[in-house]
Amino acid sequence: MHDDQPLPIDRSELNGIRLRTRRQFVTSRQGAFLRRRQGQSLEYREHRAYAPGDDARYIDWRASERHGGPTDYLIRSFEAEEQFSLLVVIDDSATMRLPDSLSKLQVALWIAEAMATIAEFEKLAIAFALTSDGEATRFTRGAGIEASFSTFAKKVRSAEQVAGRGVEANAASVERLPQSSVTMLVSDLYCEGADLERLCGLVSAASRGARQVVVCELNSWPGERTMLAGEMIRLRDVGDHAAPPGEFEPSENELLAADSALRKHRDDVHRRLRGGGVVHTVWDMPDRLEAAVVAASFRGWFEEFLLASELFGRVR
Amino acid sequence: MSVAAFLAAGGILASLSIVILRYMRRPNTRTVAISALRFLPPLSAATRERVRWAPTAPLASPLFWLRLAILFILLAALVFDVATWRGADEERLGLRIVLDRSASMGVGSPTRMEEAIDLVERLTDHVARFDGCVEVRNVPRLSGDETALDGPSNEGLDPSAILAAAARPAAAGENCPPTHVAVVSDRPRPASGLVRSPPGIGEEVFWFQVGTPQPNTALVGADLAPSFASEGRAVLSLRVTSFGPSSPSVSPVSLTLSGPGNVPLPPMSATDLTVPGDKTVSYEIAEPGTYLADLDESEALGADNRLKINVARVSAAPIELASGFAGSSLAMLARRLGPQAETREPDTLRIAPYTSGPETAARGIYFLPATRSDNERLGYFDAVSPLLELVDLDLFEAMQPSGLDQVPDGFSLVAASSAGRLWLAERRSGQPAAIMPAPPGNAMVDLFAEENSVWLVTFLNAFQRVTADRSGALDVRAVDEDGEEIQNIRHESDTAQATAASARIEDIVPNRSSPTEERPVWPWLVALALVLLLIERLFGLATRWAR
Repeated sequence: MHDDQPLPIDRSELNGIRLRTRRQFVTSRQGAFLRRRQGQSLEYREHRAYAPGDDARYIDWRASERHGGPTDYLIRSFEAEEQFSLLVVIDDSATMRLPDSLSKLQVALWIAEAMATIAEFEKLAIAFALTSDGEATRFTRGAGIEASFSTFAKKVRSAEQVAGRGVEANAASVERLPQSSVTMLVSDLYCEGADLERLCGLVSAASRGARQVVVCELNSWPGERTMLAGEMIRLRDVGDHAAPPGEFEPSENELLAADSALRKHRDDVHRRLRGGGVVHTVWDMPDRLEAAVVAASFRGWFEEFLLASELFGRVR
Repeated sequence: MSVAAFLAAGGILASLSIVILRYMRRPNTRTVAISALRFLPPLSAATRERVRWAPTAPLASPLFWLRLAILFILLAALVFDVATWRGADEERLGLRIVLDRSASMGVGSPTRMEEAIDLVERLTDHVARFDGCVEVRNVPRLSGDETALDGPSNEGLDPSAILAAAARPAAAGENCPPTHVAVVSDRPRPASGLVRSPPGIGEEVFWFQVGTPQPNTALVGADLAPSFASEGRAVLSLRVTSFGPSSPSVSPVSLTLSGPGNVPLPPMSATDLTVPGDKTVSYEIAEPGTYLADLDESEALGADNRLKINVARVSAAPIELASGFAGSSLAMLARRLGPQAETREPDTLRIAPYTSGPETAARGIYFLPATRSDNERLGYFDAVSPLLELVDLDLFEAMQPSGLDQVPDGFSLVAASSAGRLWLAERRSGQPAAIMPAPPGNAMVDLFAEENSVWLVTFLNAFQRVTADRSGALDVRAVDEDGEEIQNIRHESDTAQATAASARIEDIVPNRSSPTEERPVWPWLVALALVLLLIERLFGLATRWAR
């Protein structure tokens, strides 16, 4: 990845966006920085399946006998308040490394950097992770955030694209991601089949225990459609997906068919990801994918995204 | 443009064309990577041309511009060898003073040279007021510092040397490139067309004539002629010319000629040397050797008063007789007229049949063919020609010589047949010569017989005519008091020339000019092309590594 475009929003502008978002979004939750989650309190929340790491003392043997399977155990969970911690997970699959002019991975890094800056303003803990390796940075807050993000960004930029690497090849790594009160997944969601299952599993796992998940979908198809329309093209392989050989001249009908296939896929993905605690936002990137155009569009979109993510608000 | 330069220019233009064509050839197909690749249906195959030619220049490619610049610079290096650099307009005064320091500049009181040096100093002061510079050129040159102001030379000076010094272009690196030229001389300004300033200087040449007319008497030359009065002797004539009005009280003049052994010789007749114009003083000399003529005059130019005359031969001129006349009565006659020539010398007389070749260019008597013509009568004849002196024309006509159809170059006709054929001719300029009828009869005929007297008289007339001038036996040189030869002194003698109006110093004012100079630019262009080539390669490599 050779993109090294600076974040097109400066710190003061980000602070302005943060403050405006706070004013516009009203929440009833307790405290601006406390997030509801399962935890240790006397307020019962629900029964849920046992997961490795859970305290065995909270297994409800009676309920397990009555409602669980032969090997499933049910655990009593309780409401708890915890400090706001944000885990930004970036999908670094092959499709995220496109378009060539300014990759979605770069846009994801912009989002991560913007969130890191806001977390610094809000004095929140934040960590970053890639879907490919499941190794997140340590949760840091305050002045340490900048260094943490810098290390992460360097790791992303230096990572070579390897065919098959990403969500598709490292589904197990998703399980190793640390728990946080809010997980933000940045992806184009162009994967299918087992890969999509694993990505949905990540979202499901991250939302478990009343945690919040923000799925930020980056849709580059409008720009890529423009690239194909009326042009004579030769397609390049994307990751382990081989492109058909030859030179093509896509017709409008073929592009409409691609529109339809993509829309169907996205509808399916949206349906799969719909669930409690999951906020799904989509950024339809501009139909011109030049870096300057994308950066300008990003500045306008990010504020909408932050408001839609419902991460920050004022208590009523 | 040489063939090599033409080929090089052609190569560069071809390279330029290739570069432009390469950038004009643009693929019509783009290779793209689409992240939504898996959602694309099977696409239609391309049907259009896959290569297109775009006439637009590849403005976005720095490499293109670098390569184009290199080619243009190399082309420019081929075409432009030198460039003319024009400096800013400036007022400048650079005065080149050509100072005549020939022998005649020593005449007068104060001398003309003293007047000239005073004028040079005034010119220098005048130029200094304009912050100008002065360059003095002495003619003849000084042996040491050429720009120094010294006394007059002992040498004469050809006037063309002054004009050449004035018109000489400024040398590269010269301290004081001239904007004006001034000549300081005792001679009047020559005709305007002859006086030229150096190339690039539009100003006329300022001519300053110094001195006042001074009478002068000069020994201008010497001639040698055989003495018909005394056998074995010759007459040495000294030519004396007086310039200016006669003034014996001011310029008493006496001439002495001393022969070998420094023996003074008396003139054959007394001559008043103070009379203006040309005079000849003759001396009868009896032996060859070196003679020294010395003209004594006061308050006049002394460098033209001495001649060293080397007389190679006093006796009759040597005769070179053609081999065909050996043993004939003509050979006996020739022996009586002069010694037989061993080698051909300047005053050697050649006696031979006439041929149209270069042999007749020498001094001599050349005979027409011996065959007789048929009943031709005498036509044209020059009655006052010395060649026909005492010649009975009837008897001359009776010789019926075989004439020439054309008069040879350099000869003038003296007598011809009625048919226009040349019978008698002479050449006066250069080497004197005569063409006359061949000796009558056979080789051993008695040339002194009465029937041959016409031919004999004609022959002796011709002999006297072509041997009258014996200057070929003389070597005349002007010398100074120490006997050293003086060159070009004849140009110095007329010190009485009228003084013409001189230029005015005030007229010499600075010029507003833009100095120009030519500097070679092709090495700089080639160096620039090499630097650009290096940058182009570094840029190209950097681009490749970045990929």
